[in-house]
Amino acid sequence: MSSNNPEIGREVPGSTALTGESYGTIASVPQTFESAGEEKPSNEPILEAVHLKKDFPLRAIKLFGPPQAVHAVEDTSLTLYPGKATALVGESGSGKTTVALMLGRLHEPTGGEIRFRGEPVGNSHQSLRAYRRHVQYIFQDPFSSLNPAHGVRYHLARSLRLYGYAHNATEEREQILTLLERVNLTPADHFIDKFPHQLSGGQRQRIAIARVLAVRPSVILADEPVSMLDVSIRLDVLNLLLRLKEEDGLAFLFITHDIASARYFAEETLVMYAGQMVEGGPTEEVIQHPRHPYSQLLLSAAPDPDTMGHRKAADVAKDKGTGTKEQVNMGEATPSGRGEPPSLINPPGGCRFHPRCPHAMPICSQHRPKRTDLGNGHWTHCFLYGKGEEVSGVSSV
Amino acid sequence: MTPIVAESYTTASIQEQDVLLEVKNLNVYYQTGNVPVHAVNDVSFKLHRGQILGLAGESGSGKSTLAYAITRLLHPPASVSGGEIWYYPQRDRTIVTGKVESQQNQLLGMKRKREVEGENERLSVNVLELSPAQLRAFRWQELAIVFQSAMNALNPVLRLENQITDVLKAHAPSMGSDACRDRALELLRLVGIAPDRLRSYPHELSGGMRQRAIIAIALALNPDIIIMDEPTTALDVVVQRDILVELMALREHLSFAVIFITHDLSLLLEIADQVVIMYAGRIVETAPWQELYRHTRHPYTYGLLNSFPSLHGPKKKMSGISGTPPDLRHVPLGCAFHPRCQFAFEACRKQVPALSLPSAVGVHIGEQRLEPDSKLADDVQSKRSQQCQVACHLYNVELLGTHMENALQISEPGPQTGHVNGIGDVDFKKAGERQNNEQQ
Repeated sequence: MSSNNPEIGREVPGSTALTGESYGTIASVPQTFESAGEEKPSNEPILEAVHLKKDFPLRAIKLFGPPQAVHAVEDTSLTLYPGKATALVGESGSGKTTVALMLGRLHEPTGGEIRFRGEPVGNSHQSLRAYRRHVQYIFQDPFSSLNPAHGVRYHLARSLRLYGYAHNATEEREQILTLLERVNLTPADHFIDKFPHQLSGGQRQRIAIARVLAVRPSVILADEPVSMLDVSIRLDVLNLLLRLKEEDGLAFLFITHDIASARYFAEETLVMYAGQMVEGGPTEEVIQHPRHPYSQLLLSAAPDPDTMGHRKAADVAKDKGTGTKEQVNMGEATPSGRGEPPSLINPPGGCRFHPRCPHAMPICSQHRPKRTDLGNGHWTHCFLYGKGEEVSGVSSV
Repeated sequence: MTPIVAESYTTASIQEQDVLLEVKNLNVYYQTGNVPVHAVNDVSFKLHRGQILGLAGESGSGKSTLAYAITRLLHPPASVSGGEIWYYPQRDRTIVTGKVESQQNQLLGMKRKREVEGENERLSVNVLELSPAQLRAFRWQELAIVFQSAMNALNPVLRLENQITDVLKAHAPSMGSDACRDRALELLRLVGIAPDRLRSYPHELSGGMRQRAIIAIALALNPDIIIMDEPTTALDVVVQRDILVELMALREHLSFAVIFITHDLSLLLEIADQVVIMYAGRIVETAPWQELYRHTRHPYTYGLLNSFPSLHGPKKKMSGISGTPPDLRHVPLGCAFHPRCQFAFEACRKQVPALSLPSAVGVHIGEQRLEPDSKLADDVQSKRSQQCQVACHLYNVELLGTHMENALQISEPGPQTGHVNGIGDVDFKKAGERQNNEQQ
């Protein structure tokens, strides 16, 4: 970020003068975060979420009785650092996307706080506008996140103009071409006048990435950026994001259900289950030594060519002679996690994983375990590793 | 019939009479606009009894079209322009699930009718020439399909019970309504859904349960072949693993053969016995999974394998496959993969490589995977490699020989990419030496 920031500071006042008419309202927005953004060492957190909570109220299904809500996210804290990526992994419905949407301020948190460079983010239109100058969002589906009625030029020009980086057609074109080259869409001339339907999925996602880069953000919230793409080009896009992370010192929140790509991309990994954080820490630590029973289940379920020979042989040996399904299931060696994620309208009390947990104890259904530090920045919410302590701060790497 | 174990197919010798389904030189095209799109091009393979055949490829590689062609589900503008699909019914099929006796006879009766069409000694059915009535008898009793999206494949306004019994009524009309209901309950139990869900609507089920229900429907008449078109793509890993374990157990139990279609090669390696890789409508490589994984031959397969980050081992920069999959309306001349291939030489741009046994003198891309399996006897190893076929000029000694020097030049990793990729691993030199020796 440090390299980009002075630039922003320089250009934004300029935009007031040049685009005063059409973009005046935006350009005159007080730059809340500019002052805080000067040369900071990279170990300072850039974006922090503290005890975030999100309930989506349901329309009255019960006429009498308390109003119901979907408790999508509960007590979630995370910290993003410049030049580092934090991966958020979990099943669908675990609240990963809700966390990102709250961080992008597309959803209003029900509780908790979001701090950008140490300062809470205000709710006013102006401060949100300033916030979004720094925090941008890549959506999962490049087939619906681009407007089919507009070309590449329009998509990129809009970001450039709205945020005051391009003041005339020449600048606009130049910057668009640079952006296209940065996302490896070359020759850029060739792509600038294309429409989304003329592009493949990977190319569309690159446009979406270019659009985000046009804002020159310091934090990118990437919500499953490669899961909709063809297998052979996923890695290309992932490598592009990796390069941007390194070159520009961008902070990434990388949401994925594929743990292997979390390992490839992120320094820190957080595991979510049914709206709760269950485990977190340095990626290698979490993936090689998962502690929480849910993380163990998730990892054992991931396809992994390196271990498959053993697994297949073991399965065959195990299944031999056992006739019925029940017996086969009993014989499963992997942590048994049969069952499905709970309804979030009436989630199970205590640890939400306890109905599926092979190690569940009576206490698990009564209290939610607090955070237990396991050393090396690795932590988990599980009574198997102690009761944990109330931590007022946030996760740290 | 004894349960068929995965290993037995890849290690033991495969006999001709074990072949259940044979696809010969199949061609399917879509007539769109002026240019016909060749979605499936000269595809041949054999499916053996009880085998899981994995079909992998990117979107647009023709894998779903192939599945639809086998099930005769293609509608215009798609049409089969050539090739044959032969189904070889089992002579004495053991009904493992407790079907009603009359129902079983009915099934076998239909089968006997078809035996008349049999040629030579082996019973055979030409799938592409079945009449609508025969097709009705063929489908679901011999071959069933599980469609891609579990979310949409069930009818949202029908209860699960009606959807299961619908299949039974259509394909086994002799079954009474009580028998249908019993069978439906039995099927639900088989796939691990609580029987009280029988009266549920699809929206009341979770994604995993819907997929199980669809598998239950596919199993309704105990078919010999089930085609699964990306059955777990929309599901979470944990649910996916549950369903796959379930499927493997069912396969052991009921001994059906599966054609499993997916784009997730790492998943396929885990469950499939034989893997077929498709690219732009053609099969580029087929091999038993061990062989495919350890001795990857086609550059595309190598790229695909390297597109999945690993969970263990050292972290390394990976590069995937550069470029984009081809537009099937304008497939590149020669090998369709050549614009994305780092090893492409002159012949690749002109001549379409044929699928054939890789020559003994050849190249192993990714030599680091080559770990001779000490536990396996030599003959097993050689049998495995006999089941390998690859469509790549790199394995054509005559063509490669003339380009050996060029090949040596490209085998250095290009500094412009800055990525470590498969190029350095190719042992062109060794191939060249071996070739020279042979010539002497």
